[in-house]
Amino acid sequence: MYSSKSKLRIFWLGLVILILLFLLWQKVSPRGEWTCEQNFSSNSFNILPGVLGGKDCLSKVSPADRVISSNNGPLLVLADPVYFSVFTPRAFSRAEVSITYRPHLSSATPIIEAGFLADNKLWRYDLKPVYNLWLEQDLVNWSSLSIDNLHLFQREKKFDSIFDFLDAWQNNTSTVCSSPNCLAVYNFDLKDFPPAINLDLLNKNTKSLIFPYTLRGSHQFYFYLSGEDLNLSGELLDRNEGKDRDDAELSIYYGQKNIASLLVKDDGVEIEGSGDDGPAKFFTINRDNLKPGLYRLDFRASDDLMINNLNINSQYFSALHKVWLEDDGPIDLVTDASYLQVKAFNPAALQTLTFNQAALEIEEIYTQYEIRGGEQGDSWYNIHLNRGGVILENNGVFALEGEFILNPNYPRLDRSTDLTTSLDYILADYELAQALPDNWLQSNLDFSTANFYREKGNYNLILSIPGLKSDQAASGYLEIKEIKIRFYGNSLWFKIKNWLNL
Amino acid sequence: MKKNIIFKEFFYFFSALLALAFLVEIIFPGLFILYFNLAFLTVAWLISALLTLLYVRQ
Repeated sequence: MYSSKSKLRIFWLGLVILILLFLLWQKVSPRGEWTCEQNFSSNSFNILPGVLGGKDCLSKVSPADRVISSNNGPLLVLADPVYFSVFTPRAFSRAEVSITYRPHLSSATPIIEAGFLADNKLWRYDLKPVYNLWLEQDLVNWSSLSIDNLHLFQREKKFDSIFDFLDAWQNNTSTVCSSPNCLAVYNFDLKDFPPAINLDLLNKNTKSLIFPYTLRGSHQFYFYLSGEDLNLSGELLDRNEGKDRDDAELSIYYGQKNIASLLVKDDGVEIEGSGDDGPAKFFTINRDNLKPGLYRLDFRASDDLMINNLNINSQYFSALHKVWLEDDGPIDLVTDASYLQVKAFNPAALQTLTFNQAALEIEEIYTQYEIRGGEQGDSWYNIHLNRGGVILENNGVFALEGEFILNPNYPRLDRSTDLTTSLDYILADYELAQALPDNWLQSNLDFSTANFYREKGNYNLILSIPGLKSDQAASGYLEIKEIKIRFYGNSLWFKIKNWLNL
Repeated sequence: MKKNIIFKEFFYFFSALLALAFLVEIIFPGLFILYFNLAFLTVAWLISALLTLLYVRQ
């Protein structure tokens, strides 16, 4: 028989093996499911992590100064945005996010969105609507039609069904809109619908364009080709401030189709993190036999890389949503959005910015400022900076000249939307929030997470309430009671069947 | 059962668990610490080590 010592040793060895098997089981997640749940209003915690003192699968919120959290109360979100890390033992292909919340927001902060980091280089989040004040409350005077989650709001009723509207829009936009920008969309997939601009009206005899400013980090551009050739060139400069290698990728799309890609590898001569500028690397992309039309250029790179002397055979060339300007001299741009968000990154960039007739004093670095440029409905707004070192952002595009501004996107129903202007229709793919007792609301979001960025087992979850600022009490706040995320993927049995070709 | 045997086996157990923790964290980052608090575990290991030093004699 075993001695007491042997029995004890067998017992603890068995326990260690059981723990190992348990961890392997969790890692494999054989059922293809994983749930991460955090109830901010109670002390309850997931059984195993709670008992054994492990961490929560949903991390603490960051930045911490944008929230107020207490032991038994809901999480109060005071400023935008806030981030969570969501741990999963393995990658999953789908996620259902359920958020229980109570919004205390105003018309300046009408939208709550949540999403996961999809692309860590472009720093692009796949955002889905949680709550939209316009759609929940403020369009009661408009005529509305709904099919499932698809909603059409008409200022004056013209269409009797959404299908009639979609058909008219897809086939003959002029019968739908009597004025430009008469339609705003929200969370609606536009790939099968005509662009917001009539490409036939664009000037076909444009010259080449040299973008005179240095841009830093990832950018997206729209451009229009009137002929069949594309000639794009420029140079890349590596600041070597970060510790990672700085490869750059340029991709050109016609609709959803990739027509050209170029990968510019980091030569690795300078030491990463040294701050030594690398030599300029020239690139060219030339294609012929292309269809005249609208194209998109994606420049994917880290913030260490700058793109300079961008030369393209089209004057219709606009940067989408964001430009990070790095020049020392004066900068003049135009944008089609009525507001501008500005953030400076070094003390030398502190200055007075002019946006149409309005002036904005940039007094602190890393602080996001916002300025409105006058009456909405103007075709474009002028931006003047004395020097670069700033990021300019809005929901429109940035171009060199107003005449050649190119934005194929329909206006988005967001906080910058003025419902009293020329808008006649609003089309939204939106699931109304579910009402719970005590004025709590619950929204369910569905994500395809297969290609989402995941680092050290964590997905990056963002909760965004554009315009919400902790120093402006009028912008409101958000109470969050619970966040529950269910991940789904292939089960072990499915993988085995696949492997055995059953 | 003698105390010295218990303390010694406890020390071995916590040492094995810590070794498992580091192994799992290297291969699958975040998995072990999701369920176990490494700080608690290290304190338990230290206590077992101290008790072993105090009670276990050659």
